[in-house]
Amino acid sequence: MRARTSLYSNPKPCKHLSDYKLRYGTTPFENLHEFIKAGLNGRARIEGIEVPRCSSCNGYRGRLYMCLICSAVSCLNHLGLHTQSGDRHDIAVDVERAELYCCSCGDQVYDSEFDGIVVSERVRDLPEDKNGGFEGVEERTSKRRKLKLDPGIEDDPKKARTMMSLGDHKEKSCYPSGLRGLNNLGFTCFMNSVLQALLRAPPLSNFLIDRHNHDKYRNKSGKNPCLLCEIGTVFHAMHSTDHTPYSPARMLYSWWRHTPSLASFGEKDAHEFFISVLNGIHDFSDKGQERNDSEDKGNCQCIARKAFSGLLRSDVMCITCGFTSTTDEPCFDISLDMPTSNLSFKGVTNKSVEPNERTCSSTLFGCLEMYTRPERMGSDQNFHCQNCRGTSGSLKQMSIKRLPLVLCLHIKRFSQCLSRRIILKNGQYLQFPFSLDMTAYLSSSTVRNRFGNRIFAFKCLNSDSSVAYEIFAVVCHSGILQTGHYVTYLRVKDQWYKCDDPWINEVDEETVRASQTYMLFYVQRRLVINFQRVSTRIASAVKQSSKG
Amino acid sequence: MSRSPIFFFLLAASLAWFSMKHSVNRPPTPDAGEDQEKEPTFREIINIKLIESGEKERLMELLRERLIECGWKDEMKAHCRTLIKKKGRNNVTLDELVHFITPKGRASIPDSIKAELLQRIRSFLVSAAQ
Amino acid sequence: MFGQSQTSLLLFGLCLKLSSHFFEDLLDSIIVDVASECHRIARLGLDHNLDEEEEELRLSAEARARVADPSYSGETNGKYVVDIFGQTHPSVANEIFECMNCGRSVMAGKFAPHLEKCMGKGRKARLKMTRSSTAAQSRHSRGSPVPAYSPYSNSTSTNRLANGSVGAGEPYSNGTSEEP
Repeated sequence: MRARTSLYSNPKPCKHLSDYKLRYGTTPFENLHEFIKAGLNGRARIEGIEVPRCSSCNGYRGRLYMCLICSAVSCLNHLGLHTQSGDRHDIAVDVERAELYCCSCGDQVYDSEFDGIVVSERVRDLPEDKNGGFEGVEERTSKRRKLKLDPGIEDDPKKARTMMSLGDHKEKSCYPSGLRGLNNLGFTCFMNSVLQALLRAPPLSNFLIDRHNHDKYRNKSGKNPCLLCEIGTVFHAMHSTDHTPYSPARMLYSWWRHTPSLASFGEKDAHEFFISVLNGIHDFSDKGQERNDSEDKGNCQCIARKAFSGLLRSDVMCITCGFTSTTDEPCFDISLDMPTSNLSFKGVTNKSVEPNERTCSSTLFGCLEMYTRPERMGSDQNFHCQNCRGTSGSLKQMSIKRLPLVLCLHIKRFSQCLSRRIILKNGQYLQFPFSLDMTAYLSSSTVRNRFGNRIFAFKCLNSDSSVAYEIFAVVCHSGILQTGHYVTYLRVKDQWYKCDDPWINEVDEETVRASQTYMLFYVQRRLVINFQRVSTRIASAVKQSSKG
Repeated sequence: MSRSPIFFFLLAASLAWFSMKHSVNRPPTPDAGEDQEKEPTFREIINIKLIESGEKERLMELLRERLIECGWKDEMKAHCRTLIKKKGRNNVTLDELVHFITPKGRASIPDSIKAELLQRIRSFLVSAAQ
Repeated sequence: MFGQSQTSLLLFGLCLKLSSHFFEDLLDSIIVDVASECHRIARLGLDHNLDEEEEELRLSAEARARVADPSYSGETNGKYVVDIFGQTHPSVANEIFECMNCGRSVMAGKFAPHLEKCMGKGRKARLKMTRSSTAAQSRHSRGSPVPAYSPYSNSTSTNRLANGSVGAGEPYSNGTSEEP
């Protein structure tokens, strides 16, 4: 994917623009600076001309451009005339949009120095990161990550896919290690489905292979059993040569003891289980003496955090003065609202708008977009801007500041409605990709978008190599709320397996794509490749430990 | 009922307006119409008022917000994409994009939003006349 | 020349005409905004993954169409005849093992309801507990069958849970397991 490397570089200027800059430098841009007004929604305009009109026809409608040499304003119709009359007066600026226009090419053109000047005022007001500098952290981490990678591999989904299927076909009779059914202990499919997915998460399975890692925790368990030990036990049982279904009874018992509030016989929410197990692991290592690397909870280095934890960023912007306050919070997963079909038609009463594919069936991209879209908080939200003390409302925007190694996306299919007693399930189909690029939902992208996609911050936004994800597990909920059933689809070496309690069966890709997904598990593409190497290690390590 | 001078101006202007034969339907893309070449028209005066009072910016903001809410903007973006895909992202010009999406953009405005905006503009006109 | 009513009619007509002209101006300006935004995104290459997204959308649409076909069978082995290892399974798991709480033999498929009673969870068990001295563990349990989110120490997850996911089986479990 050569396109990706040149992605965030500046577009090549047309010869008229480079000519112009050669002759005049960037001084005209700088002179324009005080007339540029950049708004909160990413738009910018040229102010200072009282009522802009075309110098040729006196017209005021449509697009108006101001020549960057003689400051004459022309409408689109007379722009050509102006260019011909003047001495190479090619470059003009759109008065309403503060975009450059090359009259000779007849097209909008882009220049990083101009963009920088447009947003300079607002960038200065950006909240500084604690770690010093805007987006600086991201840049550092991406550099560090890059060092470890074979360049080129993780950028290509096709290559990754073939890597996933390596060595598969010759040993068809021998199924990949780690596939084993789990007995249903009485409405415990919520647990089985999550366990199947969890144990396939490369960072966690790498951790669990090593009995030593696992033993570190064993002795400290105290009165409450260690959830990580129990997961380790299940993991090793899954990778044993025994193919009869395994009963994760101890796991259930330990989890119940660990989380008394959820300990009761009956159907449970798989996502709730997932979160409570990860919190269990995290709490344990927090309470235990595993705090060498870090004192505060935010930097906990437990395996749950290492593998699943990302950082969410929430920006609240005052609509009066544009002051932005930012908070970061760690998360184990991202819970996404599902746009209901009624909602997407809200306000569209016109019959000419036909429901197209996009509005009819929701997509994961749509959910993620909705999640990261700025949301208007009304003045009723009791908002007080700490900068201008304004109370007229704010815009709130979520974004992902740091992506986790394993990305779990939870689709909010269950919602409380009307009264508190009634819980409804949204059974709508949700399209999801096997390869996912998270670039658009990163804080860097949302911030850039807020500045009208101006080119100012591109040096920090070089493609972060870890934005590419591959799916490896899908937890589905079928049936209605009261008597639903969870199954998990696992992708192992590019073959999909359906894990339905004790049953493990091969399924087509189509079955998975058409399923009613509830939780999606993605892993960074670079780890998929590593995992191939590791999985052979797992097999041998497990064999040895079962002998010993 | 007292009449402000503007009222009489409006009256005179409206007579002039109706005596001139203007086509209500505008050309398919926004560009300078013939009326722009005349002396400052009544419409221009109102336009200046709209700009100077800041009402134009507020109306724009309102319309923008409504069009995002109802999905019109997403639809237009998707429409742009079809042309970008067809012509190649480095070959398509802004003018081509504007020409391409304008008919659909105008046709797919939800009635309720149009009504709301027209109401706002009308009340501005009335307040300007008094 | 004109009567009062005619004047206001005329003005009203003018008002209508003017307002729709101004509306069209506003709309056209916003149309150019959208085109300009898209042009920028295209030229800067910020839409690079759209092709990939579209490909995924297409694959999903095809998959749904195929799966909807009645003749379609996604599972190569047929449904629940044998698993990939050639095994078949009963509807209720019949493996027998010892309960880690009380040491009694329990069948796998009945383990969860057993454990609930054994650990003294739920109202039913608590009623029982007053009569028998079954489980010392019950002292550890908080004895509340109603799920409460409070035990999470991590504020993030608490929020997330409160916002979105509601226990799938809650109404069910409250309803059945509490029957006397």
